[in-house]
Amino acid sequence: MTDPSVCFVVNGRPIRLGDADALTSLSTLLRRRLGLIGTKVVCAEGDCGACTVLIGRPVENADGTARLDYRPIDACIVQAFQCRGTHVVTVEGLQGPTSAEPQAEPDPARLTVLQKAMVDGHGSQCGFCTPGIVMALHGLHEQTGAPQPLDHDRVRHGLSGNLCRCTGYQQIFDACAAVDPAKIARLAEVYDEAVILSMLEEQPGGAFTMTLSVPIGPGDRADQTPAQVDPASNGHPAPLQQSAAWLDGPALPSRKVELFLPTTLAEALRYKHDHPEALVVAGATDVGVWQSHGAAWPDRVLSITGLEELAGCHAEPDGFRLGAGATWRAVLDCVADGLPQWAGILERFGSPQIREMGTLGGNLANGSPIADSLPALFGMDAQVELGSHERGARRVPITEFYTGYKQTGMTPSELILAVHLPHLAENERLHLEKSSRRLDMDISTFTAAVRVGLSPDGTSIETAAVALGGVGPTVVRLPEVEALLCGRAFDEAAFRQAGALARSLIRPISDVRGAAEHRLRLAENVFLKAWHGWQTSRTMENV
Amino acid sequence: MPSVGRSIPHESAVGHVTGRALYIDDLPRYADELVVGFVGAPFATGRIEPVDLSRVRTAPGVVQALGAADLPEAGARLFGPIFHDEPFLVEDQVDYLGQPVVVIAAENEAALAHARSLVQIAGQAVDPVLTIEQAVAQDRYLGPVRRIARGDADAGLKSAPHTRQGSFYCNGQEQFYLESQATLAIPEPGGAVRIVSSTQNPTESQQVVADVLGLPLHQVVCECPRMGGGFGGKETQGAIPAAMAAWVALRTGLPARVVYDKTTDMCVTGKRHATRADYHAGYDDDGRLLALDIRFVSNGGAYADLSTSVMERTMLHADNAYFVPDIAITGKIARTNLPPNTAFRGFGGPQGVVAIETILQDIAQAVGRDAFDVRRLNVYGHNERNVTPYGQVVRHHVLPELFDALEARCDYRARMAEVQAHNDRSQTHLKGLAMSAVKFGISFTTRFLNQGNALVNVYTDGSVQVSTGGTEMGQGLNTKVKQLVADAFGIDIDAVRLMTTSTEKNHNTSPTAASAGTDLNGQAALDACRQIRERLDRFAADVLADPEAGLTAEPEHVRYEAGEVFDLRNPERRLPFGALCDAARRARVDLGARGYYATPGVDFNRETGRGNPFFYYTAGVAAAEVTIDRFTGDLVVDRADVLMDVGKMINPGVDLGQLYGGFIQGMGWCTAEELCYGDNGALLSNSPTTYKVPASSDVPKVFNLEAFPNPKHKVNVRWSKAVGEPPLMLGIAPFLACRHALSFLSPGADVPLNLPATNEALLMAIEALAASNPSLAPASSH
Repeated sequence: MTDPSVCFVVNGRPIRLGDADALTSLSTLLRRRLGLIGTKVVCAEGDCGACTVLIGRPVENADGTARLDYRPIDACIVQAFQCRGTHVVTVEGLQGPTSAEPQAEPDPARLTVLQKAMVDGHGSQCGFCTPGIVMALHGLHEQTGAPQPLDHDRVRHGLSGNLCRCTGYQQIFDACAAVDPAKIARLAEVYDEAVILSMLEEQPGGAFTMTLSVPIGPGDRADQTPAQVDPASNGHPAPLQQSAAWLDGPALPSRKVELFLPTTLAEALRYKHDHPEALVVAGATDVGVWQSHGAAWPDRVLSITGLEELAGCHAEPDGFRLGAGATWRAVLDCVADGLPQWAGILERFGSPQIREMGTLGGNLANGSPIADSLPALFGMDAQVELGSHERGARRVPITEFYTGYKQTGMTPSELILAVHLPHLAENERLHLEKSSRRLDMDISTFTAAVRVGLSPDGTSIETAAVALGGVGPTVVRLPEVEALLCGRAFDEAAFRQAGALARSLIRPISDVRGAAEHRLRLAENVFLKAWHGWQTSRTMENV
Repeated sequence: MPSVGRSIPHESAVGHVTGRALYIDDLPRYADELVVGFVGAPFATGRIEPVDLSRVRTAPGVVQALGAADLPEAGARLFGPIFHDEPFLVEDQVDYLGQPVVVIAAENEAALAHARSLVQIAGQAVDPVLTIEQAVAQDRYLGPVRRIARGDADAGLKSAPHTRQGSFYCNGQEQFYLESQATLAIPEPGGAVRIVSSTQNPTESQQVVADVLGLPLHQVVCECPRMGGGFGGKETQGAIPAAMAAWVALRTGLPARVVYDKTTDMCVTGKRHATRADYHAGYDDDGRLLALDIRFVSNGGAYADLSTSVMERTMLHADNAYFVPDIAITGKIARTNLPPNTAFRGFGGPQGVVAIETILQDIAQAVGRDAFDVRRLNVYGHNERNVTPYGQVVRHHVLPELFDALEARCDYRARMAEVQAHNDRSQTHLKGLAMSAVKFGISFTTRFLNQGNALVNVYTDGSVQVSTGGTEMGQGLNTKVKQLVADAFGIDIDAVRLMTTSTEKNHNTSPTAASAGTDLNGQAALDACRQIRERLDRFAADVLADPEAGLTAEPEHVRYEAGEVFDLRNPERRLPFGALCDAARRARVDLGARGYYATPGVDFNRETGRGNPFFYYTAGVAAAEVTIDRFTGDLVVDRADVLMDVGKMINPGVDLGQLYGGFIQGMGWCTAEELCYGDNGALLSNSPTTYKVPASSDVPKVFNLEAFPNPKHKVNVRWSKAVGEPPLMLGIAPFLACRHALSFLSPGADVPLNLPATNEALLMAIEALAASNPSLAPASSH
């Protein structure tokens, strides 16, 4: 409490952030403050992976001991304060602690096995994406128990958050496939974990408030709200803004921003009660994008990043309880067996890097009508658990949660605590759809959930739930379509009619992700696609 | 062991994987360095009023705020690589949205951002002209109409048993180099300036900076250490940011750096030209092309930039790999209110290739024959049917052999049967299989650009520095030049170092473009090596001579191998190369040389459309298989097979990397990358969030790629071939496979699919075709 600064460890060296540095992006901090220019920035919005670094968070082993769990993240949209209490490893730190001395030229003999494979296998051309690719590959290797081969399928998926414009990826796949995974050192072998963990423990703990000066810039408006957002632009302010890295700004008029970093949920709720206008930051995968585009921080920021009480995910008899602060990767791990349909969608949520930062609660609170997670929650009749300092917890059906475009019925003092997601019943079929321009690392054009409950003999539909996203200001349920399906024979005709009816009920817009007509067709077709998919999975025929 | 022919890693690979390779924004910062940015026009066309910069100039941290009125009197008002028609800053007439109006230099990023927010640009906006159709309707063109013709296309069309007419549209493409446009400018004594720029064209950057600032060329030096990708987008378009930084540096006497952010870069720089082709093709019952009248119009954007040369290459590739007896090709460039479109890997070639490949795919469907067979029937021959529309004979090629090898290696017939069986059976997915070819002409079609120079310094320990006018953007030029030079002296590759490209060492250079980087610069480096070798040979012959043993000094018998020099007639006596060099210097032998190379025999008369524009052709074929979800249009490229004649590869690892990468980039153009504009001319797909280049999971799951030998090819440096651009055009195969898949929906109907085949475009086409053929269980019932 006495020392109001954010502390963490970078490549084995303890870092203490002063003032405005806490509110810069991690990539700016690394490149401009720490001189770690190996981390490249291309898009500054978490959509290319050039800035990939590994973040090591302390976790508990089964035997109660602690270790560091390293995951890939996009340093361009992670805010420096979010790294509190972690060990950040950049490309400069893969071979072990970086010294405070000016760095000598790289020694080819000291390359990691993966770096060597990339060199010998022609895995780089222009090299600008390469540090990020190397970090993502090391992240992939960190994430398995026993070393697993980095075969083509794993790398295809594991690199889906890293754009390369030169290589066409194939030589990277081939380079990785040639590596013996047992020979790749884990970071736990490169860094003395006990030393790093003790560095993290020495840091000031507890909740504290930092008061930071940030320069007044173009993102500031009279009302101090974030940059104006055009619904069609998905949160991106108008083009032609050269993004501002908020560096070295003493010459500018400045103002105070209060950053509150609680360590318990009670502290967080209390702060939100006292300061309902505070911006809540969890994963910052959207807030970080606004910041890259020059948005101003509001006067108060409440960070719930990494709050342990919000992070838990588990299966319970009546469904899953998914903590609002759980990362999408944690949610994916939790539902992979119990609800593979959703897991299939979540594997395409953002990118591996985004899934390591972005949270369930953040996605809900952001409330985009094209949020990948929502149709499943709508279609499964999930409930949102909200909490406030003054009233405790309450549950709201997800279908009643939103009141308009990015608007919810939450009171200003409430935080999202968890989502309760019922299990799919034996007699139920669920189809989830995400349509986007590209398979991976893309924002949806259209999303859908179609769930039907079948009669015991499987010939007729007894219950139905239909949710569509990307067709209006919020994700919607379509009760008329549900009514049409209920009681119908479980056959193609029912779904054909459901599609036609769904089409007639929605009024999507045209934007950069797709024309209204395209969304209408997708809405119409998803029912037939669902039906055919269920037939295929039943008969195990190959299409 | 010779270096040439081995897969030696990229010379910067260790720097790449460790993050230690430096790009412009990574270069160490000077303490007093300024951050430079600009404010662009708020509308796409119209006139702006004079901008009052007084408030900006007094804003905290602002050092300079400059408009067109502040430009040096002596400077040129307009610049451009071919026509001088582009202003560096808007004076009053705006021609595209975001066109730079005000340049600001500040002490730091925050001050720059703040200052930019203070700039107010007022004016009278006019409705912009954005599309080819709008420009054509208003008769707005850039440059002259060009024509290439042979025989009598009209007569050929009249007498042909069958004809088909149509229009084909292909979209533009963002280069999406990962390192955005960036320049660091450092003032030098005497009013000179050194710019360190991410540019494919240091000479052009030097020229534009000198022109705009009114300096003689010798006052400007341009260096390029490396680029984080170029793909053509840094052939001319780096000039404006370079001029901004240089101008600020000269005015203030302080170093100045400009680094565009990605969205700014995408919004204000030119791209591949969207192109429309209107065609009328005549053919016989077998699908043999008899006559073709094809008219191209490209979207050139606001200024000429390289558009006329790009269109020339479109026209020169309208035949692609196929012989057309009677042909007429015309090309026009629409002038619109978009940023000036420019070079992008392929340089117009892809637009010509995709048009004729699509025409052949459609003709095959019309005559009811397999599209492979129709292509094979039309391919250029060896001794007949081997003259291009512009009169160049296609020599020493292996096109028919490539077709036949691909057919066998990709198991084409059996897989075609499987695709048909699948489509008969599946109600949910469509499969398609198609092949395409490329025959890409190598050389700049502008004759004078086909030259290069290089500087080779041999030191007294036997190590070597090489400087060329070529720039390294990832393509491996420097690695390949290293290999060539190492072999010229018989030394290890590590004894050769490629130096930063700089106009003070290599001047009057051509852009690193047209795939010709290694051809020109490698050959020039070898010319320098040859000169040094001639001197060293004479000196070594004397040193190695043993008159008493009857071994006279004969330079032609001196050999260089494994770091040693010896006389062929007495191979036991060997001198280390370094020792020889040291001794040579002491004997006053010059150990440095500047080499020069000009490609022999290339010329093209663009007025008549006749000539031999190309030194040789790089050729290849590809087959692709796709699966399309009938309900969503989602596309999966299941398999691709690529075979290319790239001559004797100097570095197979590097060269195959160009083939893989080019194919995927072409596939992106054809299937995924869509430039979306608002009615006001704003680029809406202005970041990787909205503009989708291929990701790792888009790579074909089965991707077979091989080089194909061509024993007849015996020109060019070490009998290699240029390899950068040609494979991009094989990425057209997945697009043709999409058309093939869709053709099953309504046999005989035209497939309404242009580039790119996004899932949206595919779903639209599926539904249009299904609607025209209700018997085929359409996905929807409306």
